[in-house]
Amino acid sequence: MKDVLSLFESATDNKFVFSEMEHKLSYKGTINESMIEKICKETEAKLFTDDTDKKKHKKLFSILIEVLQNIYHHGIPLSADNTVGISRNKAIIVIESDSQNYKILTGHYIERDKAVKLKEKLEWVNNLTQEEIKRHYIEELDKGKISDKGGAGLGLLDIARKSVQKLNFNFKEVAQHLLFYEFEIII
Amino acid sequence: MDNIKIEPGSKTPGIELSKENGIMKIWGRSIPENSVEFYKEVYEWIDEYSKNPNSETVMTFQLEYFNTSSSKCILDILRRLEKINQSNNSNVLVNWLYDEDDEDMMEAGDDYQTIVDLTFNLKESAQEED
Repeated sequence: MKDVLSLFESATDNKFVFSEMEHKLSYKGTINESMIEKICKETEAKLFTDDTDKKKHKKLFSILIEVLQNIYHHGIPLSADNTVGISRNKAIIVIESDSQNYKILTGHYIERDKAVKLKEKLEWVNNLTQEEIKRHYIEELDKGKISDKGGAGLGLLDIARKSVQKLNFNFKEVAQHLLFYEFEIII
Repeated sequence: MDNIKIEPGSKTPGIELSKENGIMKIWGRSIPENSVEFYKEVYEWIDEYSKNPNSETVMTFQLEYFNTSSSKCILDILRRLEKINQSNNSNVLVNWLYDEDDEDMMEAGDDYQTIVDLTFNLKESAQEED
């Protein structure tokens, strides 16, 4: 899996970077409502130029929205350590494609206790078969309620259901209460 | 009762609800960050409608995609329709339309059909119905 933390650290804030040759779009910055919209528009404009793959584009789009909205809802910690200067909701997003697949990569800071819970969920989802994912999705939809953060707990199951392969992830140690979460989805 | 007509936006679906014309339709994209706020109006309309529904109730969904928080709101709409159907005041049918080859949307309709006790008509639509 790519070293997303390095990408994050070297990227310029609030700037879209597009590589035609690598068919890759990236952005680092604050993820809020208007930014989610801009990222989607930019993805559409730069990467979806081939109309024949409409089905995959739709799938990618719907996963991209889910991922971005998750970051937006769950937030990224404000660092108590001012020298690190981490601001809320700053993340890096990379969307790229090769001849076979699309890939979405995200990276952002996360508090340790949230990271522990998230890691458990990711490992759990990765161990499910497609049938089991579908079953859990329906169960969660049927009984679950919208959390106070606006998501339904379904996000991860939805992403797992739509993506072709297992979810790749990494939690890198940063400080006592802070890790850097790298997430890769292949479509 | 009042009709509702909302044009589709880049993040929110089009909504058309009219008791007198027997039209109930939700179409487009549903990806608002706060979906509960958006769908509140729809819930209220359906609650009002349920007090004196038409003998036939047809709700049509024709969505391109929706986020997970919308998925819960769609279920809430379907549960209200389920109650109307169960009360025997109206025969309820749900048209779940999806783009050609859109397996994800077809599966979503199938999921809902599993969860609620309503008659579903899952159908591919080659073009947008008006």
